[in-house]
Amino acid sequence: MKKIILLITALFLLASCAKSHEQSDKLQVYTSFYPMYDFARTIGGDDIDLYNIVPVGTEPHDFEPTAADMAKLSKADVFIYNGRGVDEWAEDIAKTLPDTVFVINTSAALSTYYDGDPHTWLSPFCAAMQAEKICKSLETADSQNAGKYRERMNSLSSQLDELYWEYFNAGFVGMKLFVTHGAYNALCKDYEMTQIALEGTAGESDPSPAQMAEVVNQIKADGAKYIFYDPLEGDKTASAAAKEAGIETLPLYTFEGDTENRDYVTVMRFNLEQLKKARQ
Amino acid sequence: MLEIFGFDFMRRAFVVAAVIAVIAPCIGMPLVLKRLSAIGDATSHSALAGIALGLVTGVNPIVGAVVFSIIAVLGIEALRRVFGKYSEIATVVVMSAGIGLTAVLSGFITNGSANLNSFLFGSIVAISDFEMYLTIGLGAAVIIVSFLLYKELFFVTFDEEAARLAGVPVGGINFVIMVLTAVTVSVASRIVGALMISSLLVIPVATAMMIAKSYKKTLILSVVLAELFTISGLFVSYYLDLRPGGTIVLIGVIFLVCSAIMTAKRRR
Repeated sequence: MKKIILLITALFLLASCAKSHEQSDKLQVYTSFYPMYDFARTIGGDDIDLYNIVPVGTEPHDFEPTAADMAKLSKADVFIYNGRGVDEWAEDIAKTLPDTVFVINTSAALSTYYDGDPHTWLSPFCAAMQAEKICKSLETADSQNAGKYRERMNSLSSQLDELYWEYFNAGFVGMKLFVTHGAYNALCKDYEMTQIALEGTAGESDPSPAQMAEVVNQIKADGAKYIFYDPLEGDKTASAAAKEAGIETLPLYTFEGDTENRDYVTVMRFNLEQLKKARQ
Repeated sequence: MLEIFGFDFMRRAFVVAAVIAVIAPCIGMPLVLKRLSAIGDATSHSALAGIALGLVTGVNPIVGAVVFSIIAVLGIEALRRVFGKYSEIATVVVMSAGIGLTAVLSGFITNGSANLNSFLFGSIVAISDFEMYLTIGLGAAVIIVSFLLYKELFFVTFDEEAARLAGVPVGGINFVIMVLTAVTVSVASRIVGALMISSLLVIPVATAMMIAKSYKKTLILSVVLAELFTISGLFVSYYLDLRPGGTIVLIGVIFLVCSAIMTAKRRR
């Protein structure tokens, strides 16, 4: 019995030794997952303390926050999430956070771009609107630094504008985009492409044999030379489909996370080059 | 030729499923008779933990799965002795450990957690050359061992005491059964999914036991049934656009329930 009590006391001591999060006087900003983190990082710069909840590489669709995440979030000044179901957990806990946390759903105004696909940020146009929303929330929560946030936002939005036209001028109209994870609806909508996906929008499971056969037949009918996969998810099913149809695979990021910590514009330019290879 | 065989990935799926349908009952038979039918579930969940660890550390997930499955089956053997009469507790303990480890480790996966799902439900439409030859090689090994140790396996599964007295190396035979189970479950979970392999170990054997009257006949019938379930399951899933693993398991369960009802009627 004594031993058990000793053990429990030791455990408590250990737990209380775990470093409590040191609060600075900067604005405490939390984001649900990588694209939101990246925009907030660009706009907030050194003037905010920024934390991302979903670890890079973890599928945001499947994520469940830990008790420690909840504890940290309740101390946040601003909590930014994408919405539309891609970070569903964030929508759920947003309701339970104290009133002191300023909660932002960045895709709230993008209903026409939704189309059942929550990956709104993959359209540079939507990305600019979402970044604007993030900037506004920072300005509201921290009016002292509002000027700096606006300045960085202006530079980001001119970059996004440039990016928008680079895609536009590449001339993708009418192109069929064969992908594993159906995440590119918003992008396709902007540039009048059609997306044909092996898996659903949530990227959670492998295709059924019938779906696989259907997509392979469409690739053959279309004469496409490439099928795209998100490197974060691996190319297993894309390779199988490519082998079947006698074509090649190419990487195309969903930007749900980035292991090299690159920013949105860099990754989207990489995607642009990949798409150009597939253009016929 | 049927459209379904026009696709290379479907031909691969049929080859691999047919091989697994031979292996699973061969291993499942001694497990069921030794009252260890839940071992497939326990092992496959431990295999998942190994896969998760592989995905976290960058080691080949199949290697992780094999190592963890072997630890799991050896753990079950060891715990079985501790619990004596209540030996089935051992399987549940190992299964719980497997699920717990998987849940904790999956929180650390940074290169695509979608991968873990594909191990749970298999990815029969995307079987690589390596996986196909690995399955065929494993199939050959299991069939050879089953033939060579036929008498010993038979003896050990029915009466360990008598087998020991007759000079059969019971410990060694049990070890072989357990290791084969571990390897089969880990390899098959990549292809047909952890869910399906643990069912295929048990359902064909359980159905065959109701119909056939001898050890040999039960074994042969269970292989025939496993082939029937997997091949018809692949056809049905292709034409009705269903998930293959689940379809195969459900066909097996329906067949088992029907045979159970028929057997019950005949007895009355």
